[in-house]
Amino acid sequence: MKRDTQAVLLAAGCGLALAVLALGPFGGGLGPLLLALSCWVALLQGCVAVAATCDLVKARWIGPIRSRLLAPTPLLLLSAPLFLLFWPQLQHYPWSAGGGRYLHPEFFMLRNLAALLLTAVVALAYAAAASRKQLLAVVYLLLFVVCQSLIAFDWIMSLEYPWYSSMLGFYFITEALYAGLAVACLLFWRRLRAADPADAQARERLRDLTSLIFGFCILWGGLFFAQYLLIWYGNLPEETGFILRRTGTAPYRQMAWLMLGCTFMIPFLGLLSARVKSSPAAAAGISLVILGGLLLERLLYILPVLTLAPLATLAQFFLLGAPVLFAWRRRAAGGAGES
Amino acid sequence: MARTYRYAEQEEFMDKLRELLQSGVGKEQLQLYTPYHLPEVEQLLALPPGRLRLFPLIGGLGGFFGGLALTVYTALSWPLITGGKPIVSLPPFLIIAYLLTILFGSLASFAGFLLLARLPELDNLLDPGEFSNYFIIVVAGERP
Repeated sequence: MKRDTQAVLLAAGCGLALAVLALGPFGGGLGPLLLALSCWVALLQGCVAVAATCDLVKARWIGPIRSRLLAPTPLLLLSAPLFLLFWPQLQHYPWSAGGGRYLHPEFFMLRNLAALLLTAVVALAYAAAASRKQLLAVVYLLLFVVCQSLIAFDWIMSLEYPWYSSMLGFYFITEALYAGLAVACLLFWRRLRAADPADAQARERLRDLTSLIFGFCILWGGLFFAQYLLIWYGNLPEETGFILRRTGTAPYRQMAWLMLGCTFMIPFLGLLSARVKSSPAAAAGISLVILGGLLLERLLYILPVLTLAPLATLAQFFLLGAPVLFAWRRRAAGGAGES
Repeated sequence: MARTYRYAEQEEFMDKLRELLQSGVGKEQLQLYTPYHLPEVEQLLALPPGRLRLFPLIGGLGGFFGGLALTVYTALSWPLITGGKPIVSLPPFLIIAYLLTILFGSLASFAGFLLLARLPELDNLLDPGEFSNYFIIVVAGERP
């Protein structure tokens, strides 16, 4: 069987299994689906956004891994039908009984569905484009910003309605790009391991990438601190409740510290060293830690509000992740000679 | 005796430098003058990293801990409870510590640069061998 057919069948099979599981009695409600979809969509959209940004600024470091980074882009098409599974479970949102004109169930579904579909279609067109790549990159980045903002404000923030933070949209955009860069670093590591480990040019480019990750680590830390400081200083009951629910008691307090360590402290201290920046294995390790930290953060957003049954959560997370990992693996096997 | 090679283009200069090193010219025989910093040259000559990076590190760490010490000391010396917060509150103190990290890190870098480049000596400001924007290789022990 051709690898392309295998990929399509796997994606369709996993999507179908996820839908059956999410709607069935063992689906665990909205929580597992929300966690899986928000994580994988951010990761995939972040990868495409990194490639689009690099194309616009003519960054050379992405050359050896660009096609691998874009390999799972078609899977973004799954995000829209999977989002439809939110519809029967909207009662989990506190605003479902009456959230005004913006947080209205039909409008909520329509705008998110439109954003996911448009982003996926433009991402696909951009990944396959031979001409007008720059224009498509600009359009994609605009849609990416809208889509990630909607995920932040609609999917996640409205779980805590009426709590709000106008910074959360930009925060999610930064996180998606941060995750995309971490994936790029992992792909570099695979490439250097499979090809010539002493490839000086690839190592030089890896160093450019790790410097960029270091920059995003600081940006993420700054955003996190800015948001925390405002809530801390304001000390308003309707705002502090959000932080207290996530840091006040075990196990959330420990999870919050671990998340901060994985997303900021470990990458910051690790990437200060020039040797770590140039070492593919060390950079890949730090990238995995970053991805783990970002996953922990999504858990921290969702877990205090929705139930996450462990088995259902794991099953849905890996059902969505399997086609993505297969796409990267397939591309790596088919593109060994790429430069 | 020394021989001087003069190039207007960076690529030609790098090619000649590679050629000289491959032909067995030792790096201790070379004197290079470039109009701007070229990290590729450092890689080719396998030079140890410069001492300049120690200055921002020491300055930055000094600024961070100095900033924390300053804020904690002043808060404890004049304890005013504001908005029900503790007297020693790390979140706002971190901002002062961060700003002083940047300030002292950059000032220390500048001071280190002046010190290592021996720039305060005005006699050194204008080298008699002024090469404008040319890339120069001087090879000691070679006939001109």
